[in-house]
Amino acid sequence: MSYEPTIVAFLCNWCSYTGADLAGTSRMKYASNVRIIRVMCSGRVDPTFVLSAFKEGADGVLICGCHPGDCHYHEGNYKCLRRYHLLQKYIQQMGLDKDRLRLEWISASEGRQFAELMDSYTETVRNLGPCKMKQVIETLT
Amino acid sequence: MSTRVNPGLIKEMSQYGMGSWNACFHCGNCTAVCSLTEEGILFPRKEIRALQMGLKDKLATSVEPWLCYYCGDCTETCPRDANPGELMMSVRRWLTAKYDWTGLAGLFYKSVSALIIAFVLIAIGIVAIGFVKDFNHEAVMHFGHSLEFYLILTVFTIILVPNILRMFYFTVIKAKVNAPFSSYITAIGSLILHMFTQIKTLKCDKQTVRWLEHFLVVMGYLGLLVITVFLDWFGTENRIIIYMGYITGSLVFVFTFLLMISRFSKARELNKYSQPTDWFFIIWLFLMGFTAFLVRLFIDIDLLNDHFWIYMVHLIIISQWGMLLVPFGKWTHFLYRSFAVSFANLKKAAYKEKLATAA
Amino acid sequence: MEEEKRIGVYVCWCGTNIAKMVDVVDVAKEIGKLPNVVIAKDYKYMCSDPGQEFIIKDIKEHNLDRIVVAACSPRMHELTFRKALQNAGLNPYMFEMANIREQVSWVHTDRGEATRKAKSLVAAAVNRIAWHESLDKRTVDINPATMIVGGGIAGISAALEIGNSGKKVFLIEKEYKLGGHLAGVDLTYPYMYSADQILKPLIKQIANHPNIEVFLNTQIDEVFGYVGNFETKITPAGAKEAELKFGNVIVATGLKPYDPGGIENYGYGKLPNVITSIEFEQMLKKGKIVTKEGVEPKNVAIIHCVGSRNKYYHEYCSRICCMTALKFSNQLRSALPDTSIFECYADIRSFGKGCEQFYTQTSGKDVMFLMFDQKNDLPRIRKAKPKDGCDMLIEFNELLSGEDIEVPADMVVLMVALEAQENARDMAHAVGVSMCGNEFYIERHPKLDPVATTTDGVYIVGGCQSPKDIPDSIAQARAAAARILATINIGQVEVEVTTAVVNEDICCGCQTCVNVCPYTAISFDKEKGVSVVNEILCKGCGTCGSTCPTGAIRSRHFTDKQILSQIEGLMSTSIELQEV
Repeated sequence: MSYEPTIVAFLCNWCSYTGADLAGTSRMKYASNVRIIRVMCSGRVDPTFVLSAFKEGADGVLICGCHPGDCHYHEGNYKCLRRYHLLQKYIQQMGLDKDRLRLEWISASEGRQFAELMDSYTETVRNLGPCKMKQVIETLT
Repeated sequence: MSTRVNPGLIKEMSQYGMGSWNACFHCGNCTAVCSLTEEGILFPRKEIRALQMGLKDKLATSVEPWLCYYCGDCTETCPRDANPGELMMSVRRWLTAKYDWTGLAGLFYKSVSALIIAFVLIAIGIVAIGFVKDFNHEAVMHFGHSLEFYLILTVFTIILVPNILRMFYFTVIKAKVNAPFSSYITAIGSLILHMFTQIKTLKCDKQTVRWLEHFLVVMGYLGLLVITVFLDWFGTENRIIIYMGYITGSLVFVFTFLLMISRFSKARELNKYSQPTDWFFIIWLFLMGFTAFLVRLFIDIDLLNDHFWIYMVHLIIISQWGMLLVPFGKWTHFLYRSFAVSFANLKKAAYKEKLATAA
Repeated sequence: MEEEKRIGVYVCWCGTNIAKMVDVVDVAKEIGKLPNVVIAKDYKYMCSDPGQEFIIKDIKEHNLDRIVVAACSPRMHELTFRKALQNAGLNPYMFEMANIREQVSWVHTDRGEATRKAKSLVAAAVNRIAWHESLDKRTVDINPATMIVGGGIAGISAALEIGNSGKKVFLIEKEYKLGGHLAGVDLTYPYMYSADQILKPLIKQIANHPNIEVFLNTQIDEVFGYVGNFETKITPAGAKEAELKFGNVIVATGLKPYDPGGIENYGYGKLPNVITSIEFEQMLKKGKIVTKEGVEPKNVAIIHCVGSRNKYYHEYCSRICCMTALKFSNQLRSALPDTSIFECYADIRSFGKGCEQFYTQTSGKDVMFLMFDQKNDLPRIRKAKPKDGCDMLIEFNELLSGEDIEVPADMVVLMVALEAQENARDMAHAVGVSMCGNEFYIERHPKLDPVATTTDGVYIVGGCQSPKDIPDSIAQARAAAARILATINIGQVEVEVTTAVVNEDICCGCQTCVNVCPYTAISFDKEKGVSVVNEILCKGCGTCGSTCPTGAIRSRHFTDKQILSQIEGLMSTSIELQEV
């Protein structure tokens, strides 16, 4: 039985969420595995959000922000980047493949790149197989 | 090998009756709607483009302008009112001038006064000859009959045949058309067919009446030519020949009259723009048939001796026709169009062969 | 949160935009089963007046205290629905939108999958809204002065519009004089009005204007503050530093012409008689059209789309060059009646009033139009031999005839593209606007809001937003001016309410948040030993919220609880999420 991954994505309001909207108005088609949560800035993405997503059963987590230098709030995306590198190390410690967490920069005019990212990242996570974090936690508790 | 663009051609072409040339922006509607265009022989858009860019050689080596029968569909369809029909007409005049080795065709197109002077000189010449012969009816009519014969022979050998060969040179040799030998054989057949029937006209929409009028004029003209020149219509007493002459003569002047009215009332698309040569041609053709008819009529009702002027007029018309309008004027279309169909068939055969070898 | 929550959910059809790919009736039905959902309905056009009336009526009838709308992107209609809630007497922040159009129905092809995804997005919104709190709007006063960066035709028009209304304007220009590119233009298309006659009176008005202060030879370094309350320091060359305070900014920095030296085919820089359109315009302004050798050219070729509409240079169309090229042909024909003129084009774009007629008129002036292949076969210009009878020859395959041609030319005018200014990036960072891939500035919405930006109080007008002609630049300038005057008239402006706030009981005084705030909006209260947020400076980015180890600092409207419950809702299995 083949499985379809579920991916939780955190998109910043000013760049990546707008870019995703642009993919929509341009009617670009992509895989439907990604569920989007809007935050004002990628810097708002708390590590607990990422971990909570895995706990709730997500197979992959994607964070999208503005390109370095273009953050609407000047530096929020840099903070996100630092956090991301630490989180990557952390989830590997927990036994999760590092590709299950991804950070990408998407600008407001990059609708096509967003659509392509949706497809390519879904494929990446699909190839990793289901993330069993939720079942493991339920078994343990 | 790049071809230089030449803005000068436009100036030259405007002397051949070309109107506005730059309205065309090459949408291609004209070629799309044309009933006579086909793959390998596309027109009129490409010709108009060559004209706009001044590609003299391309235009001179093209046979396409002669394949247009001026039904006017393109002009009616053109969204820019660029009048492709009349542009093709101007190109035909230009080509007529180009094929002519004497250069006189070009001169008469460009200068109406030169044409008029030539007409007048010929009229004077004929009247002078009449004077020399004291206006003796038999002598003059005998002279007239010989003149017709020798005029036809001379014009044919010195002007028409060389010009046709020049047309062949331009449209087949210089245009580098490599047609298989068999297509030359079939070309002869199509030459004869189209020369005497002009049936291609019927391929266009709503051209049946026009084709019929034109066909009857051609039949009448050829018949009248044979009967007057070779069967001596004015001298014979053979009833059948006399009646045939009346029939062919009336075919000529009745239907040219109808065609004149069309041109005068701008009834059809092709009548809407008239260059002086267009008028001269149709009027002289009318007069030829009409005066010939009258001459024989005057002979038969015994009026000729008292009204010999009618024969003088006829002779003047014939001479002007044979020395100017036939070799250098619109009459040439009879030959050029007929040969054009054959040369175009050569081009199509060459194109088909190229496609076959490429595949 | 112990008290009962009464949530109303509305799933929009958006005509067929959403309903075609998402089973909206099914979504409403399933969501209606969730806890706290009092009513769940579907409707054709939620954003319409009747749609909003629908919500207001239900709020009153069913005593709803929070609303979820599943429809288009919140960037379209969040404000619309917030106003509807206000009209019904609810706090506008008791509202959440689920984007099931731009991010679901328009981008997916399987109805079953799209409907499943829509359900999880709406479930997430329902979960989240349970944690929403009322937030009161905050307003600040507006400084009625305006700073306009750029003294071209757009900047000048905006300055006069605002100045004439009695409000103060600071007009900043980096060059030594006003006028921008228009100052270098001779005549304008399509009616051939003189540019000087347009520009000079305007500059004169500015010079004598009581409300407009002009700073020439000045560049902007950085603008601080927020809408209604900006400030910056400027140092005009050779003068002393000045501090400016203003409520709004108009960016009118324009653009610059492309340098065609990078296109080898055209030989710009190597062949002396290949010049740009800018250089030719200068020639026209001086009134003398001559080659570098000082003679009148017998053949002039104008090449379109130099650096535009080509993936190796700029992919976009620079909009004004076709009309300018036609203008050049007209001027050439008047000045040099016997010269052959060749317009080498890729397409002729003559939109705008009077422009198609201008093209028809130009083509009647003995101008030869030749079409080249913009994608694969740019014309090649080379020096001609003496026997060719001209200075240069241009070779290319002419598309309308299919022939390989050569065009004689004694002078070639390259219609160069228009691109963003050298320092566009620096200026963007200085004022806080975003740039698109070509370094032009991005408007708030390309159709609905072309002069505003996502930064409140900052407007972009004219060429810096994208290449455009004089009427469009002036229209944008006056539009921005009108917007600013409207806000100045109101006197106050709403500022961000979704700011951060510290729970002093939980704050341990680690000061981590103080260091991460990009706006230095957080300070440390030594007495209390806790962090304090300056709500005027805070922009609500939330960086502090995710840094705080104790969770003492909360980002209003984007709290941890709200987002975590959203994640839960997304992944919830209470609504059938099947594994394939």
